[in-house]
Formats: sequence, C-alpha cells, structure tokens
Amino acid sequence: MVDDSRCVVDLARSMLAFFEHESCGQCTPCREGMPRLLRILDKMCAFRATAADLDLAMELAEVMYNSALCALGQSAAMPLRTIIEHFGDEVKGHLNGVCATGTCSSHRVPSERRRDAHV
Amino acid sequence: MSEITLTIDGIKVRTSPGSTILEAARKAGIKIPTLCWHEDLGVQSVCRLCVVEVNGARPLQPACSYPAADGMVVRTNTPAVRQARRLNLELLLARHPDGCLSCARNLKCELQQLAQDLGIRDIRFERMERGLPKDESSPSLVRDPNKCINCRRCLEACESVQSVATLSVVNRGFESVALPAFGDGLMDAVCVMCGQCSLACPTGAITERDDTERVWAALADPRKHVVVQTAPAVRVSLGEELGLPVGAIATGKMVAALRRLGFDRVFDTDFTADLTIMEEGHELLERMKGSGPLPMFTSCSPGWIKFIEHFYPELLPHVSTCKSPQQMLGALAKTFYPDTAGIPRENVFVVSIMPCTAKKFEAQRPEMRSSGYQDIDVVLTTRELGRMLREAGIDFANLPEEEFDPPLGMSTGAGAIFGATGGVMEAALRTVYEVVTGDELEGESLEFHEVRGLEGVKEAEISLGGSKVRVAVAHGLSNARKVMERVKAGDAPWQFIEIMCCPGGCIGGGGQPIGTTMALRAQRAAALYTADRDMDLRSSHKNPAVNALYEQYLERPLSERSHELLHTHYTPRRGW
Repeated sequence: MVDDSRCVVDLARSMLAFFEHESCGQCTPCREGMPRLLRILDKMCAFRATAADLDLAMELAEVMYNSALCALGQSAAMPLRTIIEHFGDEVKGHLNGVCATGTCSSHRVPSERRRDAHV
Repeated sequence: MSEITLTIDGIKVRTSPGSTILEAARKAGIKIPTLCWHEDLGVQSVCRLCVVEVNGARPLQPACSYPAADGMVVRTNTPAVRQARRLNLELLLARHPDGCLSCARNLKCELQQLAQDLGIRDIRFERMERGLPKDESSPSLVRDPNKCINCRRCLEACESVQSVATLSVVNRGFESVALPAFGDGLMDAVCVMCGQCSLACPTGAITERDDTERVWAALADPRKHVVVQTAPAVRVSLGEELGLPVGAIATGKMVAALRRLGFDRVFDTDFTADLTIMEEGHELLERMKGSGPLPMFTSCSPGWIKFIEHFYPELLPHVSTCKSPQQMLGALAKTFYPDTAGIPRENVFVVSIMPCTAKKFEAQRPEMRSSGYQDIDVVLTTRELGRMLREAGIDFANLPEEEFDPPLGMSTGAGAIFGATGGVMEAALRTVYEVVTGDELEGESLEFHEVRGLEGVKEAEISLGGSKVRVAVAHGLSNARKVMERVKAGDAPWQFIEIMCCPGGCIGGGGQPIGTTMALRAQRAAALYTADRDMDLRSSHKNPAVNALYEQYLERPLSERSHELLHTHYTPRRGW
C-alpha cells in the first residue's frame, strides 16, 4: 500500500533495490548501471545528491531503457523516470534537503540497500 | 532470396540473408564499435557497445546479433546511439583499474582503444574496483579478475573452442565475474594452460606469466652459459609481433636478435622436431608390429597432453612416449651438448622461445629432468621475446640474417612445418613413406596436402607400397574431443592421429601476438609451408646433424639412451 505519506524517491529506491538484486549480470547497462542508479537514489534520500547526480541518473535511466539486453534492465529505471515526470518538485526537493513526507533524513545511512527484505 | 538490401546510414548495402547488421555495415565500410564480439567466437551480445537504431524496433539493437533484413533502415550514429555507447563504456571504465601504463596489454587493449575511439575524457562514476586477489598459481598464465569486463570471450574460447570450460561466470549481477570453479586458482582447476583465453581477452585480465626478468638475470650472469631454442611457429610470428607484415618469415633476423640479446648459443627446436620424427616414426612402425596400442597419438603439444590426462586418462597408452621437441632439446642441451663442448652441465641455462603458454607448465613437469636438473629453465612466449627486444632497443626490421649454431641448430623443412596443424603428420609421413617403401619423395610428392588446412578434423589414407596407413589430424581441443570419442567407441579407422591443442596448431598458440584470428593463423601457416619449400632438405631422416647425433651419442632410434633422454610418461588427472 502506498499513499501520500510515502516518499516517492524512497519508493523508487526500494523498487530499484529489488531490480538490482534480480540483475543476472550479463549486459553492461543493467549490471553496471543498476548499482550506480541505486547509489544516486541513496544519496538523494540522504540529502547529499546534487543536480548533476540527478542529471546523471536520468541519463543512466535512459541508456538502460534503450540498450539493456532484456526487459528487466529496460524497465528497472521506469520508476525513476515516472516519479520525475509526475512528482518532479518532490524529487527536486531532495536536492535541497527537503522531503515532502518528512521520511527521508540527512542521518540516513546511504549505503543501506534493503537487500535483506528480498533474500 | 539470394541477396537482401538494407540501408545503413543512408547507404544501400547488399548482403546475404542471415548476415548481421554488423557484417552488413562492415561491407559498407561503416565501423561499429564492438567489445564482446570476436570474429572467431560465438556472439555474446552483452557489452551493448555495438547498439544501433533500427526503424520499427523500440529500443536500440545490438548490431553483432541483430539479423539484417530486406528493406531495413539502420542508423549507427545518432545521439541516442552515441549516448548509450559512451555511457556503457564509462560504466565499464569506472569498474576497471586505472593502471594502463603498467599493464601488460598497454597499447594492445581493446578497452583502451575504445575509450580513445569514443573520446571518453571524463568518468562520472566513482571508481569501484572488485578488490579480488590476482591468481598467480599457474606457471603459464596470470589472471587479474579486477580487469575483467564481463565480455565472456574467455568463456567462449575455453568452453566452445577448447571444450575445457575452466572458466565460468561466478555470482550474479554487479558481483558477476569470470573465474575458475570453486574458487580454485588455475593450477588447481581443470585447466590445460593453453592460453587461448589470453588471446580472447580484450583487456589484461588474463595474460601470460612474464618470465623475462629471469632471462635478463641469466644473461647478465657471467657463470651461466645461456642457450636458447626457437619453436617452428615463432619464426613466422615474431616479425608480426614487432611490426613486420603478417606471415613474414623472420628466421634469420630472429637468430641475429637473440645473439644481440647476449645468448651464447642459438639452437633450433626444428632440430628436435626432426629428431621427434625419427623417434615417433619408429615408435609407430613398432606399434604397427604389435608393440603397443593403435591408433598412436602425437605428443608434441603440452596443452593436448594435459587435456588427455584430465579427460581421457584411459587412452593415455595410445599417446606416443616421445617428449615434445622443446623437451628433447632441453634434455640434449644439458647432456650431449655440454658433455661434448666441455662445459659443466650445471652452468648451462636453457631458454625456450615458444608460441605457447602450456610449454611453461610442461617445462616444470617432474618428468622433465633427464639431465639431473630442470632441462628447460625458462620458457618465453613470442610476446615476451617481443617485449625483451623492444626493451633492448633492437631494430628488428633492419637486422641482418644470421644462421643457427651447430650442432642443435640444423633442421629440415619437415621440422619447420611442425608449427601448423597437420605438420607433424606430414613430416612423419615423409619419413615413414621413405623408410617403408625405400622410394625417395621429391618436390611436389613430398607434400601431403590432404593433411594441411584449417578444417577441424582431417583424414587421409596413404599407400606405403603394398600396405596402407590411415591417419587423422585434429586441432583445437573440441575437435580433439570428437576424435577421442570415436577412439573410445571403437570407431577409429586410423593408425596415427595428430592432435594440436590450439586452433591452427602452434601458429595459433596462446603465446602468439595479441590480435590472433583464424585469418592470421592461415597466413602464418602459409608462411611455414613457404619456409619448408625454401629448404634444401625437407625430410627429417635426411638431417645430417640428427644422423650424426645418432652415430655419436644415441646409437639408433628407440635406443636405451633415447628412452632415457627423449621419452617420457604421463599422469592421469582429475577431470570434470
């Protein structure tokens, strides 16, 4: 269940953590791109990301969509692309230390991957 | 439809149905960057650097595997294509160590070349190296999995070409990397040390073990009498390694270069190739009289020997007991040669220049100590000798031609062709024919064309006066496996089988110049056959130095002393 008490950046991040865990590792954009994307979203949730990070994330998302070998790599970046399209202000708030739902914080450990939940 | 027409970057290209976009683009002179693709290996389609836009297809498509179709419109140079190629390459570079300047593959690295071609000037991702240990367990090869870029070409060479499958992808996702199974080093894994992976690798993740320092040290040691031998295949690839045209025959320059490096004697493995024919030919004739199992298999190729020890140990009695030419020369260079030249055996240091990484392993076998010392001290590959000559500043192209030293430097054309698939067989047939029939072969009749060429398994039937001998030749271990399965099933009509581990034979060995392809192998083999034709003597039993060696020292083929110095035994090993 997701309602407006859930941060969209954090939501995209948890979806991406799932896809990263499922990546088989054959093709470059999925194998190498997914952890990089996840790191940028980690940084966003910790309010440490810059506008350049967000630009790079969007470029990565596009390249993964365009060039990954299978549908997993092609669709993994969709959550990120969707939240930027529909919740742009909320996403950009994270670049300025603001999470609209107040659930992200600067104290968050950015390397947390939530892997345990999917094992 | 006999031909299809598609449009690539506005150019109409005609190609055959079933060809890929990549093949069609090359016909039109359009270069599409590739990394996991190799012209001799199966398509991987994983690096995603060859992506192109195809009208009607949503995402970008890999040119290496996407089939060309009639009426198709392809664009290879659009913003989306360039963005995907560059970002994917940037991702690979962010994972790869930044040590190009001290890498064995510096300036011969496909990853480096692509970074240059695609104009990468900045890597926007934090460097995240794997931090895995280097594998230096093997005397032949060194693996640095941190330099692996997951192209899977080594797997293809190891599994499809050689049917050995030492390497496989371990782990998933970001952690995946090509490694031997169970965390073993190559020395403990089922690996034949052929080094085809080192030729397939686009980076420096798998390289030959560099033993050049040990040779420099021996050359600088005044107590050491340093002798060197050169394998048949090296004379047609060393020039290529040093910038001469592919297939250049550089025998005389190679000898001159070795003298300039400071070797005291330059001997020729071709000499012991001739000696091998004498021993192995007589062994075959003895076996045909019932002294041992038939078919007999050749034993020159150390990768093949390790393969049969691992995978077909029950067939080891079929393998000729002859040592390889390298090891025969090593045994003589530390017994016959110093004893007759008045040099203490312990002062002789023997270096081999081989097209082969498995020879490094062979030299360390405990059986290879006939002199009481390790018969061959160091084996260098063609690539390592090239490195030494570059470091020494030797202007290879302008060297004069010099001759090998007597007595272990004299050879025939039969010895030279040992470097190509079918060459050992042809050399054996030249001698066996004359010994059995008493007729002399000359000119064209010396050439057994049915055992030449790059077909995987070749067969021939040769009439020897009244009787006939049926032979088979295989190169590349997947072809050797096909032949072995037939022998195992009792379905082998042959008396004599030549196996060479590497595709094309030694000219395609794992120690040969980086960039080796089947097309280059064919050119090097052609050069060896030319070298053979240029020789006055073309049959091993006519080598006067070999005959003198028998008179002075060995008595006759298969004598007691021959057995002591020139023959060996094999060790069954664990397979998969």
